[in-house]
Amino acid sequence: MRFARYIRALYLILILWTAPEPAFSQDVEAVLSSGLGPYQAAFDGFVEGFGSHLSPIVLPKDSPHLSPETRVVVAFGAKAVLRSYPQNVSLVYCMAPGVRLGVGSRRGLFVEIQMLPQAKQVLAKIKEIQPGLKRLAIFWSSKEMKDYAEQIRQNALESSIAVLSERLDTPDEFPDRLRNVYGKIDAFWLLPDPPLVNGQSLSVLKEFSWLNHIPFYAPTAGFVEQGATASVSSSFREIGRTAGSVARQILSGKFDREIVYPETVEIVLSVSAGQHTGLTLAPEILKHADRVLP
Amino acid sequence: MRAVRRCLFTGALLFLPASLSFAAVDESVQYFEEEAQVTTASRRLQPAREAPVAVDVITQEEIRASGATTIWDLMRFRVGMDVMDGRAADGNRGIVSVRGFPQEYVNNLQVLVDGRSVYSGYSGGVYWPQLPVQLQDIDRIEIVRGPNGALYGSNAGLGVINIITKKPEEPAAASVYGFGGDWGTLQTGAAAEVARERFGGRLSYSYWGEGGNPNAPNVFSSAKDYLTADKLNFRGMLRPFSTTNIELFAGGSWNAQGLSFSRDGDFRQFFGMAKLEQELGANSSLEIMIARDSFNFDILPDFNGHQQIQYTQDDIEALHRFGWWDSRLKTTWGGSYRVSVAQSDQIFSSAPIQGITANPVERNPLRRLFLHQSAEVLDRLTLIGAVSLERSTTGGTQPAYQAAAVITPARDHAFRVSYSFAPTIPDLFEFFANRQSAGPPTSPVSIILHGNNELQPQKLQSYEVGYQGSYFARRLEVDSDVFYMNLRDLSTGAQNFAVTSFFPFQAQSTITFDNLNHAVARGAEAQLTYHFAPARSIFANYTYEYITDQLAEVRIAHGTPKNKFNVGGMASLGHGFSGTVDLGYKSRYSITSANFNQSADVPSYVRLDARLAYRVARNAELFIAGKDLVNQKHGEFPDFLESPRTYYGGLILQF
Repeated sequence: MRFARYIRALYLILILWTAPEPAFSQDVEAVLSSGLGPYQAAFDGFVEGFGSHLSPIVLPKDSPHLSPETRVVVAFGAKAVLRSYPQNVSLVYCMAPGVRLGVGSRRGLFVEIQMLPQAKQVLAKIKEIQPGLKRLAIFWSSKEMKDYAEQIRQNALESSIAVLSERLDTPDEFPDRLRNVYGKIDAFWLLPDPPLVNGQSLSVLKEFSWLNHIPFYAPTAGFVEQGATASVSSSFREIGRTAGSVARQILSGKFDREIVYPETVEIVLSVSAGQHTGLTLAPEILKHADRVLP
Repeated sequence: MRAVRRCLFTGALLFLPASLSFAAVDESVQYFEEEAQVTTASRRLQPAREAPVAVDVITQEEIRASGATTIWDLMRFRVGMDVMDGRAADGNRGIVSVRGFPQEYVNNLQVLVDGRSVYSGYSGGVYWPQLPVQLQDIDRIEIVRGPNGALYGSNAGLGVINIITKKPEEPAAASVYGFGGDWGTLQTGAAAEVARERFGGRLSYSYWGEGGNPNAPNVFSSAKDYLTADKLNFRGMLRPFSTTNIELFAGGSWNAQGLSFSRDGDFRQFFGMAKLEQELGANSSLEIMIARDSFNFDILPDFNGHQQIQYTQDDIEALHRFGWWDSRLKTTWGGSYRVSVAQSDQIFSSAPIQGITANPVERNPLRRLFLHQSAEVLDRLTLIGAVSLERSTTGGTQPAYQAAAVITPARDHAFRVSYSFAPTIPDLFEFFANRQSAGPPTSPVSIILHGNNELQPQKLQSYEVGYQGSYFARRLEVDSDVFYMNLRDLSTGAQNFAVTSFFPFQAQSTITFDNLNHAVARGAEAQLTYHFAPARSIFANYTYEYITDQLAEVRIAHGTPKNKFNVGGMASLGHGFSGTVDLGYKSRYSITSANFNQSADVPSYVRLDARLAYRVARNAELFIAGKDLVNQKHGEFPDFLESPRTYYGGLILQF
């Protein structure tokens, strides 16, 4: 009898010993550049996409000491991406539009999650919002955004949209550039390019848009609340969700792409900004929009 | 008690707007701003807020809007700067100094162009008009105030001015400009660039002509003076691999200046530089730079007779940057070797002083090792330390140190405490000059220039406390510093004048150099900039500098204006118009010119510069501008040259 008790205890220990790892997530670490809302939103999306919860490392308060089991690091934001990680770890990075890792930067696999869906998808949605769109100006700055600007230009040709690609060195150039494009465009789109996006440039773009009745497409939904006409982009949550899905695929050994675009396009519309910019929003697009601000 | 309460109240006021501005900024905007900051830093452009000393950056936008016709005019209204128009015998018209001590050759101010030193080891200063750099090529200018010898080597005691030129980045672009005005002002230039994924190049040329003062004297007479300069530059880029960047730089400057009836001299300067940047990983890079800089000038007769000087400087530098311990530690270390060679039959060996061997070529090899370390020890505290050790013929073995703590109590706010020690090594002229002028019967006065082989490096110690912050969603930027500098073993030119015969009159003037003086400088700098919108901002800055010295030399104790106040702004006015206004005030100072052997009391003066531009088309801008609009003319230096009010206007075309 006593012997059977020992057998049972041993059996229990063996079960616990050989049980699957308590969390599959031990193989993955998520590193956030800071505790700022957009990084948190992207991390929440990551948890959904990855399908398992894990505790994030939030810089600068947490130090990203990786365990030897870590196989994938998911970095949210430039500060997290630019940390040094072991070369045998695969790096998935997102929310860092100003960073593009080169082949020489890392020996291990690295995957960049883009801030926006494929240009073709975004242009199609913009065309739905503004069917009469013929001439579109895009504003961008960094060389990391150059490829996407080129994608927009090429895809716009198929949609019969003429694109004025305006590359700026600093946001200080906005007043001049806006004056230059005045009369030549039906709408303008600010790409999610960090050197160009700040509070002042947004107020200048909004002012220009409202005064001259030219719709302003913003890089994220948050800017629609501040006066942009619409945003056609991926939400921070969706970007994180894509990163989670990629991390899962890497762990299963089925992934070798370097750039991934989020698939879902989120449309946020502002009715009042639409009225100010002379844009009539069709009931159908209002119905299909993810969010409509009064 | 009341003082303590007042301090607490002021401190509370300082922090209150910070928290308000923090809340006011939308998180999405904050996110993009944070991303912009990090990616800029990763490209090795250290944000000014994290620098161990005070840094002021003149942006390309400010350069374009300024209407400045010279490089030194760009720095005229900046905080902590002493900029004056002068007219040294060698043709140097710009006097530029940081934190006081303005003179013809500011020997403890290092000036770099794309990382290459343009400080002349011959005369211990910078020949500003002769620099082979064109205004149209400048991307930005970083002004580091305070000693930085541990990172940049000797002669960086007062600060460092880093001029960074434009990289070829456009697939195909060109620009042409031309403007003219009164006093013989004429400038024209053109630049073209092409860039592809793996290579690029930019070629530029400019002509600069200036009439200047109508009654400018030289030592013999007075007449209308002039300066002309042709400058040609090339910058090429090659990226054979995604992690390798090779850059080639070359250029030249051909200058002539003088009076309408006599040419003072010709000055030619050439340089070539190759730079290799190799990424060794996400947080590690290697840079190797090889450069040659040379100039020769030919100064026509004055009391010292005809002088020809040829100077060559060869540089090689390698440095390795890497981040470790999760990038909390950042290290830069490296070494450099520089050989400065000056050749002049007149200065070093013509009619040598009795008992001293004539040698027309003098050399100063300099070897240097340096280490710069920053450590993010706490979330809000970064410690920075740097040390360098160099050995040269004129300076012997010299260490330099720097230690600083940067505290960031809140986002957008940083306090800085730093200590630095930096040496300034003697230049070739004051160390090796060996010359006796002809004397009677050619001239009644015989001048003996006697370099001092025992001359010691000057030693500068600096203590500094600074604050940088921004308020109201970063619309208001505040930058302030308080510093205390102790300068030991200042090199002083000692002149002995002895009459050897009264009839006929004959005399002998002996000029030599010694470490006779010590000086102490105390100062405070404050700058406010408010951005209403992109390309619409105003600024105000105030600089206080008080200098005392052991020998009560006029050029040391009174050579620096005690109070300097500048205000200005730039604005996009709508309908294609934009304007810039800069107004500066300097309190009185007494300044000495070694070349003219004169001192002058310069009364306090106000200077107003303005520019109005109109964009006629997307690629064309017309402008009119004025320099020194308040005064018909005024002198800034004891060289009889008075800067006149000047109007000019022109056209800029970009393709």
